[in-house]
Amino acid sequence: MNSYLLAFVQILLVLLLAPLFEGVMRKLVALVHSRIGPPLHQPYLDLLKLLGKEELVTAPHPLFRYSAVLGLAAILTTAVLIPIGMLPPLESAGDILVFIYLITLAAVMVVISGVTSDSPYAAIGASREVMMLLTVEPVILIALISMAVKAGSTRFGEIMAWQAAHAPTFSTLIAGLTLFIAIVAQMARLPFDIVEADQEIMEGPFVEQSGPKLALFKWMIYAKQFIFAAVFISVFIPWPVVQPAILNLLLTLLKMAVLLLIVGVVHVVNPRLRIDQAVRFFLALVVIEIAGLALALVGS
Amino acid sequence: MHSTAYCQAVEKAAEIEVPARGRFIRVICLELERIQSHLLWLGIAGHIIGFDTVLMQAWRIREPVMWLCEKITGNRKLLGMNLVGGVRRDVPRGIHDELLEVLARVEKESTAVLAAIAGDITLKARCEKVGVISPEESIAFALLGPTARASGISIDIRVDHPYAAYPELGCEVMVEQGCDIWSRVLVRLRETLEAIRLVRDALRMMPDGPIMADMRQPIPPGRIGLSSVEAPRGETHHFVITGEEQRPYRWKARAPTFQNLQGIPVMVAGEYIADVPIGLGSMDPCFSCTERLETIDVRSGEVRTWSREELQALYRLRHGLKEPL
Repeated sequence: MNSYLLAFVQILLVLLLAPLFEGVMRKLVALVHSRIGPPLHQPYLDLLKLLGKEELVTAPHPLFRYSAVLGLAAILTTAVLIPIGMLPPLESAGDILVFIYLITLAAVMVVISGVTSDSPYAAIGASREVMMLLTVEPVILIALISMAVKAGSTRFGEIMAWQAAHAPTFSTLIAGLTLFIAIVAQMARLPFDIVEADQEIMEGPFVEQSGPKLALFKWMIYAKQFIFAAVFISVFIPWPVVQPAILNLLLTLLKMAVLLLIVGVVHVVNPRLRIDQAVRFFLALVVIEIAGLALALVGS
Repeated sequence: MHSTAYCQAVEKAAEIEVPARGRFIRVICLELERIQSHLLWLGIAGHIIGFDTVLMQAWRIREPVMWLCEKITGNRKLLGMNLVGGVRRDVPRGIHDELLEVLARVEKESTAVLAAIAGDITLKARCEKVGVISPEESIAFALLGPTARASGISIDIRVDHPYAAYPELGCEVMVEQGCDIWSRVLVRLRETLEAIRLVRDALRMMPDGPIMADMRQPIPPGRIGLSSVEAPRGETHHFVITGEEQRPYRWKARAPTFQNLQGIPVMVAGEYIADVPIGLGSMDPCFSCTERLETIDVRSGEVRTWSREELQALYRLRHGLKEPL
């Protein structure tokens, strides 16, 4: 199939399925809370409602308006670079490093939304986002580089093929576990829901965002959740690889749902950490990962 | 709480003896309120640090207590049971079994919550050694109730100046030495269990007889009554001077929140922003109980306290009402 067409399909897949995964997550959280919870399609309704609202511009800086669009765009660009059960549609366009850059770009857009709004809550949220960015991103980067060292390539497709063909080793296990913790933070789930912290700083960087802009930010967060789940499953749990490709895609989506349910369980049994505690925690993870990377380099 | 304190103050002023059954029913109502108040607080404290599972579960445990209050008194909260001289209605015999069954369930579930959160590392990381106020500072700022007891100060009106049926029932004062938010959590959870014990004992020991004193004599004017009640947040004091025609001539209530708020600057000094909401929440504030407004002019640093009359005048001015009240 034409790889551009496939890329388009994958973007649509991310845009359309990400809110559903969010709905599943909300239902699980409600179950543990002994609540009935919102219907599965509630995130779609939320997005539709927000998209239909009038656009309020509460801060003069132009980036305040466009940060949401740019953030979502960055995340959707990663959608064509990552494997979701099959090879990345535009593999030649980018590897894990480009993926990291784009994820960082989305985080930077959240920071920009924070610093361009005239709200002290947003400013605190932005500073927290920067701190999280500086400590969580290295964890993701080192985990993926460990895998790249093992596979001898920085391309997602080759890492995936290598992992599918080999049994887990110490270094891949370390990389997998640390990446799992990092994606809990990337998905803004407890105990790392520090940037938004609605009881402390009222959604932080998003406090001034409303209407369509907020809808795009929400969509970006859902998409990010979906993409990290896809990356984790494809890179660390690619087995069993089944044919035809469409079946493998369905299996991957199922595995992603299970992964998100595990993230949901972590979410409901934890209170929010303080930013300094989270930073210390991730720095400790980096140390562990560097040990894992050393193992990968000596071939274990 | 407040109605008990007020009625007791008037009863003291007029030297009215409340019958034993009335006093026991007052204790049952007070302790049921304490149970639901502490569980409500636990939920909100959990919510403040993002732990919504605690919020939802604590409130689910609390709900049967609210239904019970409604069955006994007709109201979920603000039970409206007190009259000067006794209580409005009896606790019917038929409800005893249900009451005991609900209490057993609440006790079991509260114990389970206590066990679950006691082992939670993340929760402890947020609560231990945070919002610390030393025993000396607690005494200096005259902190009250669970906030003081969590700093190792053994004060409890139920024991220090027993009222209603507490002399017969006795009551263990729950004290923790940690001086931090975690200690405040433990004090309140242990008090919830003690409150369940008190309701059970009150039901068992409650004598038969009238629930109201003979109120045919008018209440004499010009008498002074002062009474204190241990509310869930700390001690509540009511002061009454009786007046003509069975009305109060003067009445003053003091709720514990205003006193407890004085400790907040010490608790949150030098802490992270994330610790301020839970530091404030850990003393279970009731801002509507504080009745005081201060404004600070940031340029001159001048502090001004507004009286109620000034606030009313300001309100009327803002709304174009020229007439002073």
